[in-house]
Amino acid sequence: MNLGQMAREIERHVKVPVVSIPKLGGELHTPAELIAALEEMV
Amino acid sequence: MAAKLPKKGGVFIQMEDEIASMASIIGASWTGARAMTATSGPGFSLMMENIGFAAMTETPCVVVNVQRGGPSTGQPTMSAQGDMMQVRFGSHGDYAIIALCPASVQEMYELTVKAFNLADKYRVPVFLMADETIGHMREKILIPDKVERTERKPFEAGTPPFRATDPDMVPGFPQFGTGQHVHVTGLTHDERGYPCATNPKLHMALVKRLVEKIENARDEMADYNIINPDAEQVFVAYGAPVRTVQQVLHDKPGKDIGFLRIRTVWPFPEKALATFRNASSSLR
Repeated sequence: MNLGQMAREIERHVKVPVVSIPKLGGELHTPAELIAALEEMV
Repeated sequence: MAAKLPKKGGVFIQMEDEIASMASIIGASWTGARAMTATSGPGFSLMMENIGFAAMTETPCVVVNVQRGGPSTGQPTMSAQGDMMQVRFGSHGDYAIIALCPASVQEMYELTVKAFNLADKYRVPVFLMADETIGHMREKILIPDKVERTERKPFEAGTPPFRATDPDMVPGFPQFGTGQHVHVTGLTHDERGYPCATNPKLHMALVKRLVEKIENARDEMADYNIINPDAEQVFVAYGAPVRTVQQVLHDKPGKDIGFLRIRTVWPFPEKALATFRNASSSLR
């Protein structure tokens, strides 16, 4: 629920791509949004 | 808390703003009290100067930040996690803090207790970085009969109050009112607590100690869960979004989705990421 603040911290420590799934507006991600992000990666 | 704290022997004070609130818990802490305040949004920004003062003066205290959308007044009563960098770097200068992220009402309770213990152990401000989703959530919780309590390291009378000779680099706490006559200042200070603001070596040594006493304990205070360490795709989450990832894992059972769920966000538990040896991507 930010624009990827901690994603950059993760990028510092891993050698694989880090995909941020940012969401602003005051609502939680839905499971469908996370699954869609997963499927996009595969 | 205004109604319930006095019944438990505590004191509740309504301050005029968040600057005063932060200053008050610093003062209360130096009298030996366990002290906390809570805020959201721009109130957290107002606290930043005194958060740096607490870090510099090694004052144990707890701040709850129920994050909402920003910047500025932003989205009161709406959920966000936009203060995760501000909590680590928001005050000026180099320093280190501890930040914990609850994902349930139960963890709001448990991590508040933990925050006080960490604050007293390391003499540092500790932050409970909740979000509006968790802050307004209602769930059943279990409150144990007893809670584990870490006491501040005792102060050895006659020694300089900011001398830290133990491996943990944390000095004993010379509580106000016990005859120690300690001088507490936000200026760069020597072991006696007296200002030495133009001494480069002393400033370097002091600030390095303030940072290293936290960074060196990174593994000790790391708090996280790992699910499916052999997975190629790994979610990393903290706070309320943990619950969404848990739902995804429930809906898509199997070992193809990994999950690193973090409670201690600062210092960041970087070794946990190495657990996922097959990871080809990390999503958050």
